[in-house]
Amino acid sequence: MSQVVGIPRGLFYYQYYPLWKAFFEYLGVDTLVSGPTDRRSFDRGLRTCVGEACLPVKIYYGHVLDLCDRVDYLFVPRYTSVSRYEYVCPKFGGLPDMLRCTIPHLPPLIDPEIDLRKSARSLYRPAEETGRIFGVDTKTSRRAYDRALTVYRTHRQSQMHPLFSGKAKIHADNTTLKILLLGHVYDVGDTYLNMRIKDKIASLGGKVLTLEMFDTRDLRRRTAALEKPLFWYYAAKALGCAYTLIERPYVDGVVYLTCFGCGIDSFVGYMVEHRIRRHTAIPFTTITLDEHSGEAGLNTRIEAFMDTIRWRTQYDRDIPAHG
Amino acid sequence: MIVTFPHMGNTYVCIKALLLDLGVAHLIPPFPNRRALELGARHVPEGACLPLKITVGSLIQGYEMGADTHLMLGSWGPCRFGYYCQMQREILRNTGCHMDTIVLEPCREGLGELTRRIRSLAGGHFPALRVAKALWDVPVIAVRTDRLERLCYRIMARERKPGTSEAIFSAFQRSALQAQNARQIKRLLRKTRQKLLAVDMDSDAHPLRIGMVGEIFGTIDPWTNLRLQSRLGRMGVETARLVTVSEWIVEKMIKKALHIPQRLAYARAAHPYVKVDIGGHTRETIGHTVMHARDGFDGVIQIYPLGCMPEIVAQSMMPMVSREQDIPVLTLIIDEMTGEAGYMTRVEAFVDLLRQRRRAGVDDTIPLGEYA
Repeated sequence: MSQVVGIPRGLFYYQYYPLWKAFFEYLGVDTLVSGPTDRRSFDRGLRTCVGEACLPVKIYYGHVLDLCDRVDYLFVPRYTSVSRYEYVCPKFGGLPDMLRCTIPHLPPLIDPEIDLRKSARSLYRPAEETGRIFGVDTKTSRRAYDRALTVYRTHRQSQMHPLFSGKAKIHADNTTLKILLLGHVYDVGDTYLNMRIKDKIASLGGKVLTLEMFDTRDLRRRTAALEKPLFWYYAAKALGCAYTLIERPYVDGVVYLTCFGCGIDSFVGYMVEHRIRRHTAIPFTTITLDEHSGEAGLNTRIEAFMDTIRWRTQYDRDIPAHG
Repeated sequence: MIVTFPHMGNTYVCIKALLLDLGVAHLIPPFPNRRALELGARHVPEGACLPLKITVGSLIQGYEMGADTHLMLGSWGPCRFGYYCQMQREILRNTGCHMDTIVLEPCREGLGELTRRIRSLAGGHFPALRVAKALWDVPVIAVRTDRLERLCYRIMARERKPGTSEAIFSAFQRSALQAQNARQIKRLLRKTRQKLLAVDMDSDAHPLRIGMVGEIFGTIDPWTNLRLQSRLGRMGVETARLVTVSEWIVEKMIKKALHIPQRLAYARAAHPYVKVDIGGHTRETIGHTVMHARDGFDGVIQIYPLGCMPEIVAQSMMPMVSREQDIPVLTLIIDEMTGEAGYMTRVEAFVDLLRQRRRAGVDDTIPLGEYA
């Protein structure tokens, strides 16, 4: 009987799943992804996780509980850092420890540490560690990882918007409003958590752009304007995005999506908002979600935001040409 | 140039010594107070952690008093503290308090950049001898101040006339503000220690012992944690806190910079629960709880400001640590909405529980740790 590795659908699932999937496929290990977030996993996560944690972590708990009895291993990589000089978030680093201490009868965790903060030399170590569990030799693990990386890069390339990869020109288009939905990949990606905010914007005639459509390297380069470089992966991207918009205001509006209690957003949201409000004419709004958020409130705010932008472009002449 | 810096407990004593040694004109803002918090809460983003709000408030008060330069420490994450210097700089700029900022941190550009910053702090020149003396004095004074504070909380639970040691200590805090040079501060430290040791104590007292763990600012700064350690002292409870400014300066800054092996007893104690350093004080919080349990403490109080990322990780492990190490833990989360009454009710209830637990005969012989 082959062994099954469970992958909880939460946090970095939304960014790295293509990589994980390709890696395990190459190793010939079966994986099982938990279902999309629903009421049941949401509630179970809330009940089990410590109350002070942020919503995405609570939802992750729900997915772990969902998989617990059905898999032989749980894949919970310890994402300390995915880029030079930058961390992800303390909660990501402590996630396997948090799970072990709160959920009894947990299947064995596969929790290799991914730490590329000091150098990229340790790139293969997590892959080798994971491979070892399944009796795969180092060489094969490395090859599997290389293959997975190619898949991941192609995936990232396909996510990139032609506008930001420099392949297309900006078209004047008055009917659809380009809305940048700025937020952590797991906030933007989980439709249960964000109450299908993308669909809501689309149904009101907006085209949603996300951070994943930008070129990360380009974004990070732009943060060089800061007096002190940021040391969070997401923060550097989000702020780079703000600087990009200052230079070329591609979008008609920015919606900053955040979850209550997100430490990084509390700093970055402030910095992004300040830069966009001061240096551009782009309308900006922040939407904070937690487990008590009601959908009606979200609808009202999105509708009001879209209406404001539309009226502005239709009736107000006192705005820059690209407004 | 008039330098100001935010408060964190008694950190001002060693920072003042540093500035006095360097001959820098400086101005210490009032101790954290209601107005500082209000100013901070108004200008700092809502979701930011409490220490940022209090420090920004303090800095604004310093600016109002006439300071034109802001001195701050920095680090490189993942805890938000590392970015405080930049946030303070931006927030102060956005609120119209125009101050220069000097950040002392392990610079990525290397030691040259740090030297440049110290030079700009010292007013354009780099008096090597004075800098060396100043940098030597900082850890020495920090260690002595912390030792004094520890002694104070130890005596507080045993003194025959309540309030004596606290009065001596607050007299020290006030006089340290008036010091003219580092030597005076050292003399003051010595004299205060003698005074504290002369306090009339009940040597047979067998007070409850509670360990304070948690986020550094929340545990160290008495105003932020509603003077919890003094209050417990007045209730006849001895408190011990292993998180200190001196430990931070000596272990996390000096030893790290010089690549000297750090004291990692806490990391070993925490290892069954936290495997790697994930930033902030997670490992310390868990490790110290285990160490307190081994030292026979009656309980542990974890304190942290709302939203502190590393402490949330620690808190979620606390139930397991508490169960396995057999030590009661109370977690207190503070923010600008914290009400004193509700907070103290919980602390009193916790102390009552610990008293009952001890009376119920859970080992009456308490080994005395090596304190004071």
